[in-house]
Amino acid sequence: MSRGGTFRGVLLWSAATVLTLDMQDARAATCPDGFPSKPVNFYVGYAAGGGTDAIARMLAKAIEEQHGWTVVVENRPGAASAVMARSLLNAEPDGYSIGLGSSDTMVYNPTADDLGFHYSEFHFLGSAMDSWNSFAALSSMPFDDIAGLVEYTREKGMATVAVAGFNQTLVVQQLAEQYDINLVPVPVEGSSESMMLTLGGHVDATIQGVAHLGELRSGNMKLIASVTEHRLPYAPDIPTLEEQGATALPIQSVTVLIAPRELDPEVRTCLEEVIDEAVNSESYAELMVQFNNRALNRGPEGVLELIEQRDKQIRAIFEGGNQSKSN
Amino acid sequence: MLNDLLLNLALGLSTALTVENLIYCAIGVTLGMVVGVLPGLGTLATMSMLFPITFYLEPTTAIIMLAGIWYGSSYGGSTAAILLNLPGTPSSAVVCLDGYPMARQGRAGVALFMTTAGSFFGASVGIVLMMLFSQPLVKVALSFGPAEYFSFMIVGLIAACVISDGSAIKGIAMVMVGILLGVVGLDVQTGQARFIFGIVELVDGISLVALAMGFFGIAEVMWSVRQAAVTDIGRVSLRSMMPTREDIRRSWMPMIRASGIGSFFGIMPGVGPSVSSFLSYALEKKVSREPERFGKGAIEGVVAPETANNASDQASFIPTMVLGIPGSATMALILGLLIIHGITPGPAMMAERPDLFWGVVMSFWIGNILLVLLNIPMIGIWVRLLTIPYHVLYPAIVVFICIGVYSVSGSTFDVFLTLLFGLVGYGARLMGFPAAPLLLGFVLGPMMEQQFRRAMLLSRGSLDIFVTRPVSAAFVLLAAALLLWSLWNVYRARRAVVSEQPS
Repeated sequence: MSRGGTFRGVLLWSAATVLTLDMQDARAATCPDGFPSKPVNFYVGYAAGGGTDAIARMLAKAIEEQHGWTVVVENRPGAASAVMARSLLNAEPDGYSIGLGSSDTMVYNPTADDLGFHYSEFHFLGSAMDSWNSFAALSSMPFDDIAGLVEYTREKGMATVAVAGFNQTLVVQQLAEQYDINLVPVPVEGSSESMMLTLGGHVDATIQGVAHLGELRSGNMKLIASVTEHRLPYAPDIPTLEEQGATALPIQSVTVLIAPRELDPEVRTCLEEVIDEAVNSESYAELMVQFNNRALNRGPEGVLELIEQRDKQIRAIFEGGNQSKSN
Repeated sequence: MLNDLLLNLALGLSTALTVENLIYCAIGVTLGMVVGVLPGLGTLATMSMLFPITFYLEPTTAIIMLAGIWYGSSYGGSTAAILLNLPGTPSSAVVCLDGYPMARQGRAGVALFMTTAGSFFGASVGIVLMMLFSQPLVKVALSFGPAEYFSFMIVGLIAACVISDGSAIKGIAMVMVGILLGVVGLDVQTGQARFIFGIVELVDGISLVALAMGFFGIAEVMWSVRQAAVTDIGRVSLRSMMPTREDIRRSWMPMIRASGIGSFFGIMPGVGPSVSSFLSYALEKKVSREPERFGKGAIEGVVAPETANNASDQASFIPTMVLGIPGSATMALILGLLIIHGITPGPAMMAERPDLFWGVVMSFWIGNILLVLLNIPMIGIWVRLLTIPYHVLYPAIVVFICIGVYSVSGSTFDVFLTLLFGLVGYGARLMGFPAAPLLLGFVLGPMMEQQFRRAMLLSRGSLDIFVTRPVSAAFVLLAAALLLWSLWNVYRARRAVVSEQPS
């Protein structure tokens, strides 16, 4: 496919990274003459007020401060950022249309219909943050880890977990399968619904991103496991799924910056560098403190690798899961 | 206890009464009112547009302004519904049913005055609840599981069938159509897209605003073109605005009941003000001794829904502020604002930032008083709208509807959808199919489905869950009683007709 193009982009990108390091604080993004000659648009795949929206606005602010560009943030919510992705397919690949969404939207989803795009149709300019998911429950629940949850489920005959989104459902299904327990995912629309079910005691546990942080701090809820590939920096004592012996695939999703694929290489390099500088800016770091998270740009290559890997893993699981379901 | 409350009130007032906060409160409520009056223009879109500005404001100030837009729009929402039969917001659609007939009878001023009074009353109840009973109310809200939600929505759906006049069969048919339209979009349980025909804009379902503006807005414009009648507005003096003693006598009980309904639905995250305004209308029609007056300009039918949706607006801040659980996209925006300012919403917030919580609460009082002061003098001006010739007014309304619908989602697809619904709505109206039950079916149907399936997951497929949980069982009984009562009424009416026939 467009291997050559991507590769050249990477070369340019790494060359520019070296330049940036050399020149220290000087805003060294190498941009073609005359770019940008008009405002750059950030299309956020989620509604105003959400996490991705805040990220987009902070990055826009940092870019304006660092380079004097005008960045216009526009929300294009719908279908977990799939509406935004679809609209990017039709956008001019001139570097003025950049989308922000979740990398997991780009990954194979066996339950959803074909939404009319594939990750290979985009160019990923970088990422702004890793999403950290965790397994949590009310503090009054009689289990503190996965082993305890498994035992609890066996004793009770069944336990329920509120989940928002296919990637969370998958984790619960895999746990149920591995331990052969009746652990039932209860799919809801959005983290606030799963918080309600959990706080009201209607389900036994939940998987959450950030909505539970307030409850964790007040001691009302506790963490059972980190559902990402490492321990969570804000809760270093809580082991990951893998450390607890669970083979469920941890959720690895990042906030990605997306452009149409046929971007001019020079513009692409320019945008990648500008975004990297913004992600590493101080004002953006402040926002990350609010999210109990940290700024992390996996770079264009890193993001693509992550998406390819997730895509492959989920396809593999689903094909296996499908067979076991049919018997 | 009382001492604490007084201290908190003083703290809140001193926060809310700073010059900056007062100014932003005034900006918020004024904008909200304007947005509410203009059909289609949504609060969420307005708040989203102003959202970036709030980065540069103190969090308390920012919430005061955004909240002002939210509850301010509820005051404005009924204005166009009464005067032009065009709801400014989906939740005021039901006000059209009696508000517009009142305007045609030259009582627009009274209707507007009473909705303002009702709005203020409902909002006050909501704020008082927030001040005194936030914590226990949140416990009640959380104790509602999927089974309870489902059972009380059944009550709502049965009530929906009585909203409109005329044929009950047609009303039920429209509820069903509404439920079916609500099915469109991604199924949360399985992730399957239903009835989207490859249109990615439909993945999140049909937009409520597009549906409401099509069926009520566009259809009404077409209807009026067909039979452009000039309304005699009479003289708009202060006196013609004043409700008669009869109006007040008829209104005070509905106001009390409606603020109860509104507050109840407000504290339930995810239910929204539309349901409360529709249901309080249905309740008033049910308990009224002269239900036949409804749909022909009954003051109760105007006051009740407006009171309910304002109570609901204020009460919806309770789960948002106390639990950090937003009940709607609008509330999510408020929460997002807190997070950006480094405040973790949730149980700890009230203790950590009492100035914020109480400042916002006290600003609600100020905002609502401002809204009353803004609204009463405006009534005379609004009524003058009716003197604008139709050939000027209606094209302008269509433009506003299009802008409004577009502003919600930023998609032209929704604009075309609105026009399509307008055509369908016009056709339905020609054949006497009422639009209000459709809207309620559309709002309640998908919620019921989700709650039902969730309850089935939790009970492993046993229907017992609806009757073994006491609160749910009570709602089921109420629904059954309502149904039996309706059937009994139908039977009695039939018998009356039959026994009259021989003579």
